[in-house]
Amino acid sequence: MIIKDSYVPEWMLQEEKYSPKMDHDGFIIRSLMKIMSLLSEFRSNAALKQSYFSTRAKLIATILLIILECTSTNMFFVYIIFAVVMVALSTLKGQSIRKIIGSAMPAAVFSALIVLPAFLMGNHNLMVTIVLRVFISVTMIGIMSVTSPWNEVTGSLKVFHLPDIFILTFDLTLKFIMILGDICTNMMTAIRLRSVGKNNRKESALSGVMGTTFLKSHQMSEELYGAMICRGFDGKYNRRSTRFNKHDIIILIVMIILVLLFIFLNFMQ
Amino acid sequence: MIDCNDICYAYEGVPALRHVSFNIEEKECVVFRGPNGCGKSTLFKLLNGLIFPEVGTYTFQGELITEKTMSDQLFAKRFHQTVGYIFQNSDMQLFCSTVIEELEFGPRQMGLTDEEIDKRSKDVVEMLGIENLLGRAPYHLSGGEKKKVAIGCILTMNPKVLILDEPLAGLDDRSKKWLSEFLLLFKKTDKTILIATHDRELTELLADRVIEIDENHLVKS
Repeated sequence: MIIKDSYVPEWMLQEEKYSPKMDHDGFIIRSLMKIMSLLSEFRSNAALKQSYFSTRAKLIATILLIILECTSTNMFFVYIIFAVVMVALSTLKGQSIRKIIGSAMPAAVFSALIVLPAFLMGNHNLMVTIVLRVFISVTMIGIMSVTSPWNEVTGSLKVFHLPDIFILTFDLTLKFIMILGDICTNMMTAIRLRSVGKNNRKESALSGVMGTTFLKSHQMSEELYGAMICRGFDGKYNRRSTRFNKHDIIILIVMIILVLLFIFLNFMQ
Repeated sequence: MIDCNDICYAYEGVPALRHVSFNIEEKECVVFRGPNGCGKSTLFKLLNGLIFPEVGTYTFQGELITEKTMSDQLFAKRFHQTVGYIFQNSDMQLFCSTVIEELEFGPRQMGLTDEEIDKRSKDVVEMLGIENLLGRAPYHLSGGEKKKVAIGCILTMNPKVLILDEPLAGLDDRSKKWLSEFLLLFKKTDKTILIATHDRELTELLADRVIEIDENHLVKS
């Protein structure tokens, strides 16, 4: 026997007579729910099935369209892009549309607040052009993110000849957001389970969560680096990148039409 | 005391528990066994009121445990004091700066006097044999030490039900032996104990009853 003294304290043998008091601990639950919903979004993105178009084509199209609509001096072209984006948006599920509009609207409102002084000074066009462009850009990024798994998006960045180390860092960041998010979730659940009364030092408990998460992330990063070295990592990050598929021809045709329109409306009128 | 009736739960459409029904009497020690991914941890989360059944009912001491009842802060706090949960990964359970703060966190929340808190901490420290760890940061402890502290910080709250999720996972042989003997000692307190484990020896040593969950997330017996 390792435990020599079979001592059980008296209070442990009795049933606890305890009546809890009210406490303001809603923020622990709210923070917990926020992290959990963020993680669930990450998970649902990671579980996305292959969409109709390749991620590589969607990424190129998204970046190209953002550049075109931001640099266009012709508002008619911006309206055309707006129409194209709305058509693309309408092909998604209601839940995805709500999510995208939920991100695009605050961004548009925020940009409207920034250009409000100019609007009040009489520059009324600026309000429409800036706000609409911001709305279109964020919506396009939203469509990209809800229809493409992030691991494929990072893989497709190779198309733009981004350095390996950038793509690797991006990949690892996405992975560790989930891992560290899980750690935070579990620790906050532990706080919640043990918050059985009035706690005047909640900040101290939450700082403990942050401290432990930081230490854990430091330890994991060192272990990961060790594991990568052991598996022959030499700074090059070769991974399978997504390929174009036959449906991408539709994106290609739309892009050609839009580029021609851009040239025509901006330079030939 | 614990009554689960026809419980189903799924994670985004993937079933984790299917039509699970069982009841547990007061002072019983029940071991839940089953392969990895069969839903033991999900079931324990459910028994701790962290998640709620999509179908079926969970009743604890005659009270239905639902999202609505657990949104009542006083009820939830009382419930969490009554049901102590030891996580599989002790790292996730310890968030204070020192071991002694961990042990005192629960009793301090319960509004016990300093004398009572000191007594409880001292008794638990003695039971667990962690006198030399009190001033240390939980993060830097070994796996076995962390497990002892995680158990200690729940015991100081004196719960009526103790739920342990894979308590022997990741422990060395000596720590496993210690924990098995400790749980045997703890059984003398007449608390209700629920354990998820694969360990046959622990099951034979402690279990009054074994509930098997199969790979299809169904209760076998």
